[in-house]
Amino acid sequence: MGKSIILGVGDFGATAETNGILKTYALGSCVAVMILDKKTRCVSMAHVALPESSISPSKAMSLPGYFADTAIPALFEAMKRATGGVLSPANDLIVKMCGGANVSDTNNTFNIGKRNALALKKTLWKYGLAPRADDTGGNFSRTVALYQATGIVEISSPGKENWKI
Amino acid sequence: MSQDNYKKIEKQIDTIPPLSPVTSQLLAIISEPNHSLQDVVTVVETDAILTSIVLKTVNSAAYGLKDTVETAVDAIRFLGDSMVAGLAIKREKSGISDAPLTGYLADADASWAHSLKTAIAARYFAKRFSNGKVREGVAYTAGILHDIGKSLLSSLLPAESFQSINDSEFLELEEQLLGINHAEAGFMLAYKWSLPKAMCEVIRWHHEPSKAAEEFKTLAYIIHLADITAMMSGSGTGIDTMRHSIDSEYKKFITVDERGLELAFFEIQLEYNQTFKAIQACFDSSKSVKSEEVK
Repeated sequence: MGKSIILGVGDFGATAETNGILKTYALGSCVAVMILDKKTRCVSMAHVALPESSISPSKAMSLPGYFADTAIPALFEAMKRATGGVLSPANDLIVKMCGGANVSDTNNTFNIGKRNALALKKTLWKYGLAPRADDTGGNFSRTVALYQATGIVEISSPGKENWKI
Repeated sequence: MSQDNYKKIEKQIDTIPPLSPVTSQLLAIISEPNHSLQDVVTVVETDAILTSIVLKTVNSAAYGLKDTVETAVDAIRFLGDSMVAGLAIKREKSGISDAPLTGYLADADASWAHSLKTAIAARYFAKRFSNGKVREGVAYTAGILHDIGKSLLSSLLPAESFQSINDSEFLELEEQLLGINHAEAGFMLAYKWSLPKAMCEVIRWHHEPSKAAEEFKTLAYIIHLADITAMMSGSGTGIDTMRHSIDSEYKKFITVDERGLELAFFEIQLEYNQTFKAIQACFDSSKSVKSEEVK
């Protein structure tokens, strides 16, 4: 098994290392967005906590992984760093996402999970991308591992059997 | 409640060591609206181990202070009196704020991480969203203590039965499985410990804040929302994470919109990252803290 990179809330990372693993724990309303490059075999992941960086533009510069709108370009840059500057065009990239759980709030204020997932789809759209696998929503937390070797994402949640996307 | 489980919980409560006098005094002082910093300093200084924990925390690399803080009064001024009470609770022999919640399928650190995140969120909500109705220190301390009932139920929860749970409310599931929920169990312990009334009320009603006594309702709603905020942002306590619903009546007590909440999430997370590191470093380097106490 290759090296595991653990990502906390708002972190992002990429690996092109054979058998590398990207992992993040306990996604509640946060969303893990993952990009896989079919050509370079580089994979990346961001643990996105919030939809828009405009709530704190100055801090978003140094913490782009926190926000849906800044996380995607940050992933592109991280993937280029991991491959020595190569990133394939959109039709060679596969996007997967999971997380974005919700607690029911009829006022909608606390539906951050849903807003995160929507904001990510909007941002991806700008780059000509859409998630091929989407495991968002529900009312449970998720821990996620992305395997470079296969591109498979394994999801676990307390009290449930693991599943894959 | 099934008589068997009730007896088991009562028995467990009898075996839990009482709060130390210093922690009890700190909780009482913070509940007093007109207390001074000196009141807190005087109590902390009677306890050499707590003083050293407070100094180690404030001087940890996570805060990156240029000059070493050498006195309890300066350390408490920097950390705030409620965080000092939080450290006193974490140091308690009972392990009530950081016991592993294996029955909830939670990771080892999950209990303390959840308490701390809830406390930081509660203080933030009290400051920004309560229109001055709730004092920050009370909100923080209530956040640290709100889930003490989980450590009582953890060993009784039949983890194997979780494979078949549906998406039902976890509070109801606890009642089905054990005849009592963690909020009510926590209240039994809080009552036994003679915690201040505000703490007893929010421990009991943090999932059903509309049932709290009128004078503590805003505080109960703050802890209700702070608890859910902690779960949403990755600091849950295992199996029950995201399985509690929001009482939408919070709008009557708390003034918050989507954007305000999102900024809150961000700032709470940044403060939590820093505080968790500072406290972790302190307790890792003082592994003997609790055992010294036992001697």
